[in-house]
Amino acid sequence: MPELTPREVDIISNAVRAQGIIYSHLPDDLIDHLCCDVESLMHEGSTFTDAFAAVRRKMGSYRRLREIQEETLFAVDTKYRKMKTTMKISGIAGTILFGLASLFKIMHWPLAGVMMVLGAMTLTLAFMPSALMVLWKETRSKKRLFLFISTFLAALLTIGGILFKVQHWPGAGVIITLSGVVTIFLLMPAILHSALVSQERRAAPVVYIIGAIAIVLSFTGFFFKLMHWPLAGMLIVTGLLVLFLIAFPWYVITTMKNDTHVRPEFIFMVVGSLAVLLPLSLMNLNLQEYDKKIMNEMTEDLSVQRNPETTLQLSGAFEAVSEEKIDSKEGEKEVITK
Amino acid sequence: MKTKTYITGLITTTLVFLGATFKVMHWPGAGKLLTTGIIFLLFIFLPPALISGYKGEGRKESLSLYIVTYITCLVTFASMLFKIMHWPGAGILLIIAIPFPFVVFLPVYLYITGKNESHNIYNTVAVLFLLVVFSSLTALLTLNAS
Repeated sequence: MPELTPREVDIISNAVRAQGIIYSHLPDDLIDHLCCDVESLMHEGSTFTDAFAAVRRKMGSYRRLREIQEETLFAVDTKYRKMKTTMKISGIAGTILFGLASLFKIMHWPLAGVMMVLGAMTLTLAFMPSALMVLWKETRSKKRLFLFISTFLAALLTIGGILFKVQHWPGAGVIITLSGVVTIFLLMPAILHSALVSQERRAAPVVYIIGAIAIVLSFTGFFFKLMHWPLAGMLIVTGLLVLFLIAFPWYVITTMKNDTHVRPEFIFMVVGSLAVLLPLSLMNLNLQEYDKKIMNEMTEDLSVQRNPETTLQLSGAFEAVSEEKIDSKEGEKEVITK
Repeated sequence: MKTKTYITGLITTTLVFLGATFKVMHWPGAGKLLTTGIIFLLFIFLPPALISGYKGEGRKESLSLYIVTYITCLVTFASMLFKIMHWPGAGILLIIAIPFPFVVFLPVYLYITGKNESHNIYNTVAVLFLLVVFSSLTALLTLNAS
Protein backbone atom coordinates (compact mmCIF):
# COMPACT_ATOMS: atom_id res chain seq x y z
CA MET A 1 0.00 0.00 0.00
CA PRO A 2 1.53 3.37 -1.04
CA GLU A 3 2.14 5.95 1.68
CA LEU A 4 1.80 9.69 1.40
CA THR A 5 4.93 11.79 1.57
CA PRO A 6 5.03 14.50 4.29
CA ARG A 7 4.56 17.14 1.59
CA GLU A 8 1.36 15.52 0.37
CA VAL A 9 0.06 15.28 3.92
CA ASP A 10 0.83 18.99 4.27
CA ILE A 11 -1.24 19.79 1.17
CA ILE A 12 -4.22 17.97 2.64
CA SER A 13 -3.85 19.48 6.10
CA ASN A 14 -3.53 22.99 4.66
CA ALA A 15 -6.73 22.45 2.68
CA VAL A 16 -8.56 21.41 5.85
CA ARG A 17 -7.17 24.21 8.02
CA ALA A 18 -7.92 26.82 5.35
CA GLN A 19 -11.59 26.01 5.88
CA GLY A 20 -11.36 27.30 9.44
CA ILE A 21 -11.73 23.93 11.10
CA ILE A 22 -10.48 24.72 14.60
CA TYR A 23 -12.58 22.79 17.06
CA SER A 24 -10.37 20.66 19.36
CA HIS A 25 -8.96 17.55 17.61
CA LEU A 26 -11.52 17.67 14.77
CA PRO A 27 -8.97 18.93 12.20
CA ASP A 28 -6.62 16.01 12.94
CA ASP A 29 -9.46 13.52 12.61
CA LEU A 30 -10.55 15.01 9.30
CA ILE A 31 -7.00 15.14 7.92
CA ASP A 32 -6.44 11.51 8.93
CA HIS A 33 -9.67 10.47 7.28
CA LEU A 34 -8.87 12.29 4.05
CA CYS A 35 -5.32 10.86 3.96
CA CYS A 36 -6.67 7.31 4.34
CA ASP A 37 -9.14 7.87 1.51
CA VAL A 38 -6.41 9.26 -0.75
CA GLU A 39 -4.07 6.38 0.09
CA SER A 40 -6.66 3.75 -0.67
CA LEU A 41 -7.35 5.37 -4.04
CA MET A 42 -3.61 5.53 -4.77
CA HIS A 43 -3.46 1.85 -3.93
CA GLU A 44 -5.80 1.27 -6.84
CA GLY A 45 -3.27 2.94 -9.08
CA SER A 46 -4.03 6.65 -9.39
CA THR A 47 -1.57 9.45 -8.73
CA PHE A 48 -1.79 11.71 -5.66
CA THR A 49 -3.30 14.62 -7.57
CA ASP A 50 -6.02 12.48 -9.17
CA ALA A 51 -6.78 10.69 -5.92
CA PHE A 52 -7.06 13.93 -3.93
CA ALA A 53 -9.32 15.43 -6.62
CA ALA A 54 -11.51 12.31 -6.54
CA VAL A 55 -11.79 12.47 -2.74
CA ARG A 56 -12.75 16.13 -2.93
CA ARG A 57 -15.41 15.33 -5.53
CA LYS A 58 -16.79 12.58 -3.31
CA MET A 59 -16.95 15.00 -0.40
CA GLY A 60 -19.07 17.40 -2.50
CA SER A 61 -17.38 20.70 -1.71
CA TYR A 62 -15.14 22.06 1.01
CA ARG A 63 -18.23 23.49 2.64
CA ARG A 64 -18.99 19.95 3.80
CA LEU A 65 -16.00 20.18 6.18
CA ARG A 66 -17.49 23.20 7.86
CA GLU A 67 -20.84 21.46 8.08
CA ILE A 68 -19.13 18.60 9.89
CA GLN A 69 -17.65 21.09 12.33
CA GLU A 70 -21.08 22.68 12.87
CA GLU A 71 -22.62 19.29 13.50
CA THR A 72 -19.84 18.33 15.93
CA LEU A 73 -20.20 21.58 17.84
CA PHE A 74 -23.94 21.11 17.97
CA ALA A 75 -23.58 17.62 19.36
CA VAL A 76 -20.78 18.35 21.85
CA ASP A 77 -21.15 21.94 23.02
CA THR A 78 -24.26 22.74 25.10
CA LYS A 79 -23.66 26.48 25.07
CA TYR A 80 -23.41 26.47 21.26
CA ARG A 81 -26.61 24.44 21.05
CA LYS A 82 -28.44 26.91 23.28
CA MET A 83 -27.11 29.86 21.28
CA LYS A 84 -28.24 28.33 18.02
CA THR A 85 -31.72 27.63 19.37
CA THR A 86 -31.94 31.19 20.73
CA MET A 87 -30.86 32.54 17.36
CA LYS A 88 -33.54 30.56 15.52
CA ILE A 89 -36.40 31.35 17.87
CA SER A 90 -35.60 35.04 18.40
CA GLY A 91 -35.00 35.55 14.68
CA ILE A 92 -38.37 34.11 13.75
CA ALA A 93 -40.27 35.76 16.62
CA GLY A 94 -38.68 39.15 15.99
CA THR A 95 -39.43 39.05 12.27
CA ILE A 96 -43.07 38.07 12.77
CA LEU A 97 -43.56 40.74 15.44
CA PHE A 98 -41.97 43.43 13.27
CA GLY A 99 -44.02 42.38 10.24
CA LEU A 100 -47.34 42.29 12.04
CA ALA A 101 -46.51 45.60 13.72
CA SER A 102 -46.20 47.33 10.35
CA LEU A 103 -49.59 45.91 9.31
CA PHE A 104 -51.17 47.13 12.57
CA LYS A 105 -49.54 50.50 12.07
CA ILE A 106 -50.95 50.88 8.55
CA MET A 107 -54.43 49.83 9.67
CA HIS A 108 -54.20 52.12 12.73
CA TRP A 109 -55.04 49.22 15.03
CA PRO A 110 -54.00 49.48 18.67
CA LEU A 111 -50.76 47.98 20.07
CA ALA A 112 -48.79 48.59 16.87
CA GLY A 113 -46.19 50.61 18.77
CA VAL A 114 -45.77 48.01 21.52
CA MET A 115 -45.35 45.23 18.96
CA MET A 116 -42.82 47.21 17.00
CA VAL A 117 -40.73 47.99 20.09
CA LEU A 118 -40.87 44.33 21.18
CA GLY A 119 -39.97 43.10 17.71
CA ALA A 120 -37.04 45.49 17.36
CA MET A 121 -35.78 44.57 20.85
CA THR A 122 -35.99 40.85 20.11
CA LEU A 123 -34.04 41.36 16.91
CA THR A 124 -31.33 43.61 18.35
CA LEU A 125 -30.93 42.21 21.86
CA ALA A 126 -31.55 38.49 21.36
CA PHE A 127 -31.14 37.59 17.70
CA MET A 128 -28.08 39.64 16.76
CA PRO A 129 -25.89 38.73 19.79
CA SER A 130 -26.70 35.03 19.55
CA ALA A 131 -26.05 35.00 15.79
CA LEU A 132 -22.75 36.76 16.48
CA MET A 133 -21.79 34.16 19.11
CA VAL A 134 -22.66 31.26 16.81
CA LEU A 135 -20.55 32.71 13.98
CA TRP A 136 -17.66 33.41 16.33
CA LYS A 137 -17.73 29.88 17.73
CA GLU A 138 -17.58 28.49 14.22
CA THR A 139 -14.71 30.54 12.87
CA ARG A 140 -12.70 32.21 15.65
CA SER A 141 -10.67 34.22 13.18
CA LYS A 142 -9.64 37.80 13.96
CA LYS A 143 -10.37 38.99 10.42
CA ARG A 144 -13.89 37.66 10.52
CA LEU A 145 -14.50 39.23 13.92
CA PHE A 146 -14.27 42.71 12.39
CA LEU A 147 -16.89 41.74 9.80
CA PHE A 148 -19.23 40.32 12.43
CA ILE A 149 -18.93 43.32 14.72
CA SER A 150 -19.53 45.85 11.94
CA THR A 151 -22.55 43.85 10.73
CA PHE A 152 -23.87 43.80 14.27
CA LEU A 153 -23.38 47.55 14.72
CA ALA A 154 -24.94 48.43 11.36
CA ALA A 155 -28.00 46.23 11.95
CA LEU A 156 -28.45 47.52 15.50
CA LEU A 157 -28.32 51.16 14.39
CA THR A 158 -30.56 50.63 11.36
CA ILE A 159 -33.29 48.78 13.26
CA GLY A 160 -33.03 51.33 16.09
CA GLY A 161 -33.25 54.21 13.63
CA ILE A 162 -36.37 52.81 11.94
CA LEU A 163 -37.99 52.20 15.32
CA PHE A 164 -37.27 55.74 16.53
CA LYS A 165 -38.46 57.23 13.24
CA VAL A 166 -41.73 55.28 13.08
CA GLN A 167 -42.46 55.92 16.76
CA HIS A 168 -41.62 59.62 16.30
CA TRP A 169 -39.05 59.51 19.12
CA PRO A 170 -36.37 62.20 19.13
CA GLY A 171 -32.88 61.37 17.88
CA ALA A 172 -33.96 59.25 14.90
CA GLY A 173 -31.92 61.38 12.51
CA VAL A 174 -28.72 60.99 14.52
CA ILE A 175 -29.08 57.20 14.76
CA ILE A 176 -29.78 56.89 11.05
CA THR A 177 -26.77 59.06 10.20
CA LEU A 178 -24.59 56.87 12.43
CA SER A 179 -25.90 53.71 10.77
CA GLY A 180 -25.08 55.20 7.37
CA VAL A 181 -21.53 56.03 8.47
CA VAL A 182 -20.97 52.56 9.97
CA THR A 183 -22.31 50.90 6.82
CA ILE A 184 -20.16 52.93 4.43
CA PHE A 185 -16.89 52.96 6.37
CA LEU A 186 -16.94 49.68 8.32
CA LEU A 187 -19.40 47.19 6.90
CA MET A 188 -18.82 47.59 3.16
CA PRO A 189 -14.99 47.35 3.32
CA ALA A 190 -15.31 44.34 5.66
CA ILE A 191 -17.75 42.56 3.33
CA LEU A 192 -15.61 43.34 0.29
CA HIS A 193 -12.49 42.06 2.02
CA SER A 194 -14.09 38.82 3.14
CA ALA A 195 -15.57 38.27 -0.34
CA LEU A 196 -12.18 38.80 -1.95
CA VAL A 197 -10.22 36.46 0.33
CA SER A 198 -12.94 33.79 0.43
CA GLN A 199 -11.94 30.47 -1.10
CA GLU A 200 -15.34 29.92 -2.60
CA ARG A 201 -15.10 33.08 -4.65
CA ARG A 202 -16.47 32.29 -8.09
CA ALA A 203 -16.44 35.58 -9.96
CA ALA A 204 -13.51 37.82 -10.87
CA PRO A 205 -12.41 40.25 -8.11
CA VAL A 206 -13.27 43.21 -10.33
CA VAL A 207 -16.98 42.29 -10.20
CA TYR A 208 -16.99 42.48 -6.41
CA ILE A 209 -15.08 45.75 -6.45
CA ILE A 210 -17.51 47.32 -8.95
CA GLY A 211 -20.48 46.09 -6.92
CA ALA A 212 -19.03 47.47 -3.69
CA ILE A 213 -18.27 50.83 -5.29
CA ALA A 214 -21.82 51.01 -6.67
CA ILE A 215 -23.35 50.28 -3.27
CA VAL A 216 -21.07 52.76 -1.51
CA LEU A 217 -21.96 55.38 -4.15
CA SER A 218 -25.69 55.01 -3.61
CA PHE A 219 -25.25 55.00 0.19
CA THR A 220 -23.15 58.14 -0.01
CA GLY A 221 -25.90 59.62 -2.19
CA PHE A 222 -28.54 58.92 0.47
CA PHE A 223 -26.26 60.41 3.11
CA PHE A 224 -25.69 63.53 0.99
CA LYS A 225 -29.44 63.83 0.55
CA LEU A 226 -29.88 63.71 4.31
CA MET A 227 -27.22 66.40 4.76
CA HIS A 228 -28.67 68.58 1.97
CA TRP A 229 -25.38 68.52 0.12
CA PRO A 230 -25.49 68.82 -3.67
CA LEU A 231 -25.15 65.92 -6.15
CA ALA A 232 -27.16 63.53 -3.96
CA GLY A 233 -29.61 62.51 -6.70
CA MET A 234 -26.83 61.98 -9.22
CA LEU A 235 -24.86 59.77 -6.82
CA ILE A 236 -27.90 57.60 -6.05
CA VAL A 237 -28.87 57.15 -9.69
CA THR A 238 -25.28 56.42 -10.77
CA GLY A 239 -24.80 53.92 -7.95
CA LEU A 240 -28.01 52.03 -8.63
CA LEU A 241 -27.44 52.16 -12.39
CA VAL A 242 -23.99 50.57 -12.07
CA LEU A 243 -25.33 48.02 -9.60
CA PHE A 244 -28.30 46.86 -11.66
CA LEU A 245 -26.94 47.27 -15.18
CA ILE A 246 -23.29 46.24 -14.76
CA ALA A 247 -22.39 44.46 -11.52
CA PHE A 248 -25.45 42.22 -11.13
CA PRO A 249 -25.60 40.92 -14.76
CA TRP A 250 -21.83 40.42 -14.79
CA TYR A 251 -21.93 38.49 -11.53
CA VAL A 252 -24.77 36.29 -12.78
CA ILE A 253 -23.06 35.56 -16.10
CA THR A 254 -19.71 34.64 -14.57
CA THR A 255 -20.93 32.61 -11.61
CA MET A 256 -23.96 30.79 -12.87
CA LYS A 257 -23.25 29.65 -16.39
CA ASN A 258 -22.12 26.19 -15.29
CA ASP A 259 -25.23 25.25 -13.34
CA THR A 260 -27.67 22.68 -14.60
CA HIS A 261 -30.64 24.26 -12.84
CA VAL A 262 -31.62 27.76 -11.83
CA ARG A 263 -30.20 28.42 -8.40
CA PRO A 264 -32.63 29.42 -5.62
CA GLU A 265 -30.18 32.19 -4.72
CA PHE A 266 -30.79 33.83 -8.09
CA ILE A 267 -34.57 33.81 -7.58
CA PHE A 268 -33.99 35.21 -4.09
CA MET A 269 -31.79 38.01 -5.42
CA VAL A 270 -34.26 39.03 -8.15
CA VAL A 271 -37.31 38.94 -5.87
CA GLY A 272 -35.33 40.62 -3.07
CA SER A 273 -34.15 43.55 -5.16
CA LEU A 274 -37.69 44.14 -6.42
CA ALA A 275 -39.04 43.90 -2.87
CA VAL A 276 -36.74 46.79 -1.96
CA LEU A 277 -37.13 48.88 -5.14
CA LEU A 278 -40.93 48.91 -5.35
CA PRO A 279 -41.77 50.05 -1.79
CA LEU A 280 -39.00 52.62 -2.15
CA SER A 281 -40.63 54.19 -5.20
CA LEU A 282 -44.07 53.92 -3.57
CA MET A 283 -42.70 55.83 -0.60
CA ASN A 284 -41.20 58.47 -2.82
CA LEU A 285 -44.52 58.91 -4.65
CA ASN A 286 -46.41 59.13 -1.37
CA LEU A 287 -44.05 61.86 -0.25
CA GLN A 288 -44.54 63.80 -3.47
CA GLU A 289 -48.33 63.61 -3.10
CA TYR A 290 -48.09 64.68 0.53
CA ASP A 291 -45.91 67.55 -0.58
CA LYS A 292 -48.50 68.64 -3.15
CA LYS A 293 -51.36 68.36 -0.66
CA ILE A 294 -49.59 70.54 1.89
CA MET A 295 -48.76 73.12 -0.75
CA ASN A 296 -52.39 73.30 -1.89
CA GLU A 297 -53.65 73.70 1.66
CA MET A 298 -51.20 76.47 2.32
CA THR A 299 -52.03 78.41 -0.80
CA GLU A 300 -55.75 78.10 0.01
CA ASP A 301 -55.18 79.36 3.54
CA LEU A 302 -53.16 82.24 2.31
CA SER A 303 -55.47 83.29 -0.50
CA VAL A 304 -58.11 84.06 2.13
CA GLN A 305 -56.03 87.05 3.04
CA ARG A 306 -56.76 89.83 0.60
CA ASN A 307 -53.43 91.58 0.61
CA PRO A 308 -51.65 90.17 -2.44
CA GLU A 309 -48.22 91.35 -1.42
CA THR A 310 -48.25 89.61 1.99
CA THR A 311 -49.72 86.49 0.42
CA LEU A 312 -46.94 86.33 -2.05
CA GLN A 313 -44.26 86.81 0.59
CA LEU A 314 -45.85 84.35 2.99
CA SER A 315 -46.41 81.64 0.42
CA GLY A 316 -42.81 82.03 -0.66
CA ALA A 317 -41.62 81.57 2.90
CA PHE A 318 -43.93 78.60 3.50
CA GLU A 319 -42.82 77.00 0.31
CA ALA A 320 -39.18 77.22 1.34
CA VAL A 321 -39.87 75.84 4.83
CA SER A 322 -42.12 72.97 3.76
CA GLU A 323 -39.80 72.00 0.96
CA GLU A 324 -36.89 71.79 3.31
CA LYS A 325 -38.87 69.78 5.85
CA ILE A 326 -40.04 67.25 3.31
CA ASP A 327 -36.65 67.01 1.75
CA SER A 328 -35.06 66.07 5.06
CA LYS A 329 -37.79 63.51 5.74
CA GLU A 330 -37.27 61.93 2.37
CA GLY A 331 -33.51 61.80 2.76
CA GLU A 332 -33.77 60.09 6.11
CA LYS A 333 -36.18 57.54 4.80
CA GLU A 334 -34.03 56.58 1.91
CA VAL A 335 -31.09 56.07 4.21
CA ILE A 336 -33.18 53.79 6.39
CA THR A 337 -34.28 51.66 3.53
CA LYS A 338 -30.74 50.90 2.64
CA MET B 1 -34.13 26.95 -20.80
CA LYS B 2 -31.79 27.83 -17.92
CA THR B 3 -29.97 30.57 -19.84
CA LYS B 4 -33.32 32.03 -20.92
CA THR B 5 -34.44 32.14 -17.31
CA TYR B 6 -31.31 34.04 -16.27
CA ILE B 7 -31.83 36.48 -19.12
CA THR B 8 -35.49 37.09 -18.23
CA GLY B 9 -34.46 37.56 -14.59
CA LEU B 10 -31.94 40.22 -15.54
CA ILE B 11 -34.43 41.90 -17.90
CA THR B 12 -36.97 41.97 -15.06
CA THR B 13 -34.66 43.71 -12.58
CA THR B 14 -33.55 46.20 -15.24
CA LEU B 15 -37.14 46.99 -16.28
CA VAL B 16 -38.36 47.48 -12.73
CA PHE B 17 -35.32 49.55 -11.77
CA LEU B 18 -35.81 51.82 -14.81
CA GLY B 19 -39.56 51.97 -14.16
CA ALA B 20 -39.03 53.01 -10.54
CA THR B 21 -36.48 55.67 -11.53
CA PHE B 22 -38.73 57.03 -14.29
CA LYS B 23 -41.71 57.07 -11.95
CA VAL B 24 -39.89 58.99 -9.24
CA MET B 25 -38.49 61.44 -11.80
CA HIS B 26 -41.95 61.80 -13.43
CA TRP B 27 -40.56 60.93 -16.84
CA PRO B 28 -43.03 59.51 -19.37
CA GLY B 29 -43.29 55.76 -19.90
CA ALA B 30 -42.75 54.83 -16.24
CA GLY B 31 -46.09 53.04 -15.92
CA LYS B 32 -45.49 50.93 -19.01
CA LEU B 33 -42.00 49.96 -17.83
CA LEU B 34 -43.19 48.96 -14.37
CA THR B 35 -46.20 47.01 -15.66
CA THR B 36 -44.08 45.15 -18.20
CA GLY B 37 -41.44 44.47 -15.57
CA ILE B 38 -43.86 42.99 -13.06
CA ILE B 39 -45.74 40.97 -15.69
CA PHE B 40 -42.35 39.67 -16.83
CA LEU B 41 -41.52 38.70 -13.26
CA LEU B 42 -44.81 37.01 -12.44
CA PHE B 43 -45.61 35.23 -15.69
CA ILE B 44 -42.37 34.80 -17.62
CA PHE B 45 -39.51 34.66 -15.11
CA LEU B 46 -40.88 33.10 -11.92
CA PRO B 47 -42.75 30.00 -13.20
CA PRO B 48 -39.82 28.46 -15.13
CA ALA B 49 -37.30 29.63 -12.51
CA LEU B 50 -39.22 28.01 -9.66
CA ILE B 51 -39.86 24.82 -11.64
CA SER B 52 -36.16 24.58 -12.48
CA GLY B 53 -35.18 25.29 -8.87
CA TYR B 54 -37.59 22.60 -7.69
CA LYS B 55 -36.15 20.06 -10.11
CA GLY B 56 -32.63 21.03 -9.07
CA GLU B 57 -33.43 20.48 -5.41
CA GLY B 58 -34.99 17.12 -6.21
CA ARG B 59 -37.12 16.78 -3.09
CA LYS B 60 -40.80 16.03 -3.60
CA GLU B 61 -41.79 17.45 -0.20
CA SER B 62 -40.69 20.95 -1.21
CA LEU B 63 -43.34 21.27 -3.93
CA SER B 64 -45.79 23.07 -1.64
CA LEU B 65 -43.04 25.55 -0.62
CA TYR B 66 -42.41 26.48 -4.26
CA ILE B 67 -46.14 26.89 -4.91
CA VAL B 68 -46.54 29.09 -1.83
CA THR B 69 -43.50 31.16 -2.85
CA TYR B 70 -45.13 31.81 -6.22
CA ILE B 71 -48.48 32.79 -4.70
CA THR B 72 -46.74 35.11 -2.21
CA CYS B 73 -44.84 36.88 -4.99
CA LEU B 74 -48.00 37.08 -7.10
CA VAL B 75 -50.06 38.69 -4.32
CA THR B 76 -47.32 41.04 -3.06
CA PHE B 77 -46.06 42.38 -6.37
CA ALA B 78 -49.54 42.60 -7.95
CA SER B 79 -50.77 44.68 -5.01
CA MET B 80 -47.77 47.00 -5.26
CA LEU B 81 -48.30 47.41 -9.01
CA PHE B 82 -51.98 48.22 -8.45
CA LYS B 83 -51.04 50.75 -5.79
CA ILE B 84 -48.39 52.46 -7.89
CA MET B 85 -50.61 52.57 -10.98
CA HIS B 86 -53.64 53.77 -8.97
CA TRP B 87 -55.78 50.95 -10.35
CA PRO B 88 -58.99 50.21 -8.45
CA GLY B 89 -58.87 47.49 -5.78
CA ALA B 90 -55.35 48.36 -4.61
CA GLY B 91 -56.48 48.97 -1.03
CA ILE B 92 -58.08 45.55 -0.58
CA LEU B 93 -55.16 43.83 -2.30
CA LEU B 94 -52.69 45.55 0.04
CA ILE B 95 -54.59 44.43 3.14
CA ILE B 96 -54.23 40.85 1.91
CA ALA B 97 -50.68 41.28 0.63
CA ILE B 98 -48.97 42.91 3.63
CA PRO B 99 -49.55 40.12 6.17
CA PHE B 100 -49.43 37.37 3.51
CA PRO B 101 -45.67 36.66 3.66
CA PHE B 102 -45.80 36.40 7.46
CA VAL B 103 -49.05 34.50 7.88
CA VAL B 104 -48.78 32.07 4.97
CA PHE B 105 -45.26 32.00 3.52
CA LEU B 106 -43.15 31.97 6.71
CA PRO B 107 -44.94 29.06 8.47
CA VAL B 108 -44.82 26.93 5.30
CA TYR B 109 -41.16 27.83 4.77
CA LEU B 110 -40.21 26.94 8.34
CA TYR B 111 -42.24 23.72 8.27
CA ILE B 112 -40.77 22.47 4.99
CA THR B 113 -37.16 23.48 5.67
CA GLY B 114 -37.41 22.19 9.24
CA LYS B 115 -38.00 18.71 7.87
CA ASN B 116 -35.03 18.98 5.53
CA GLU B 117 -32.00 18.11 7.63
CA SER B 118 -29.39 19.34 5.18
CA HIS B 119 -30.97 22.80 5.02
CA ASN B 120 -28.56 25.60 5.84
CA ILE B 121 -29.62 27.86 8.71
CA TYR B 122 -28.10 30.89 6.96
CA ASN B 123 -30.67 30.62 4.17
CA THR B 124 -33.37 30.95 6.81
CA VAL B 125 -31.55 33.97 8.24
CA ALA B 126 -31.39 35.55 4.76
CA VAL B 127 -35.13 35.01 4.21
CA LEU B 128 -35.92 36.45 7.66
CA PHE B 129 -33.69 39.43 6.92
CA LEU B 130 -35.51 40.16 3.65
CA LEU B 131 -38.85 39.97 5.46
CA VAL B 132 -37.61 42.44 8.11
CA VAL B 133 -36.46 44.89 5.44
CA PHE B 134 -39.76 44.53 3.61
CA SER B 135 -41.84 45.05 6.74
CA SER B 136 -39.83 48.06 7.87
CA LEU B 137 -40.33 49.61 4.43
CA THR B 138 -44.08 49.06 4.73
CA ALA B 139 -43.97 50.50 8.25
CA LEU B 140 -42.32 53.63 6.89
CA LEU B 141 -45.11 53.97 4.32
CA THR B 142 -47.50 54.79 7.18
CA LEU B 143 -45.52 57.91 8.05
CA ASN B 144 -46.74 59.74 4.98
CA ALA B 145 -50.31 58.50 5.20
CA SER B 146 -50.76 59.93 8.68
